[in-house]
Amino acid sequence: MRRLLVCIFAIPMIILLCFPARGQEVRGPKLVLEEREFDFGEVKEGKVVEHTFRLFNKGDQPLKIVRVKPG
Amino acid sequence: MASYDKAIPPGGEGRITLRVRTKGYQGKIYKSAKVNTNDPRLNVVRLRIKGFVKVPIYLSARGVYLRANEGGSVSKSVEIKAGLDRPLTLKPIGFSVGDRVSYRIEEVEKGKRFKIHFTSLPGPPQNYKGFLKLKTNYPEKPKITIKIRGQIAKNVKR
Repeated sequence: MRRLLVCIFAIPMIILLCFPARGQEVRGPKLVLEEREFDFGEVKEGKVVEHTFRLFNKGDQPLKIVRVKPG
Repeated sequence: MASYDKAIPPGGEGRITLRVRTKGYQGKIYKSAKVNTNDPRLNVVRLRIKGFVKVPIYLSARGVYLRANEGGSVSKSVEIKAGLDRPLTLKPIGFSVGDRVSYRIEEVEKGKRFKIHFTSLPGPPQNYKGFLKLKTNYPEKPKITIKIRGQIAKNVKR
């Protein structure tokens, strides 16, 4: 009887935890980066090297870039 | 230096542009920028730029620091490497700390690699600084200055 009760309660809980309902998917901004590192190869000293990183917001709310701090 | 889009709408695309000034750099260079966002899963991300800065002459260090105890001496060396396909020649044209430091130029690989060995001379406790200036045969880099700093520390009697 005890085993049966455990099965009745535990199995639906496991199913709920493993397969959350669609409406409960993580919401908010979602940052996706095309690349995190860029190799500019060889350059002569004195040149200014520039590179643009592309980023995407795959979320459902605006993604804010709060700060970019070169270091 | 960095410039960037402050907000990206859902489904949209944004850009972060990083600029690296290579003046004063030589050899391998790594620069990074820390990006803070409002994405709770990725609120800090680091972007990196790397590469190699070519110079006519590579120096292992811009200067040396010689710290010795009173009565003792210490040696340090700086390696100089030709960055062009022509043989390099070096000629000393100025040395401001001849009474405190001696130096010797070793040609490790003819016309390509040199080592400048500096040795502090024993003397009374003091701090000093100076330079060694070398003339080169490269019009792209006609002069090299190696800074020298040193200290002769007083011996502590126990």
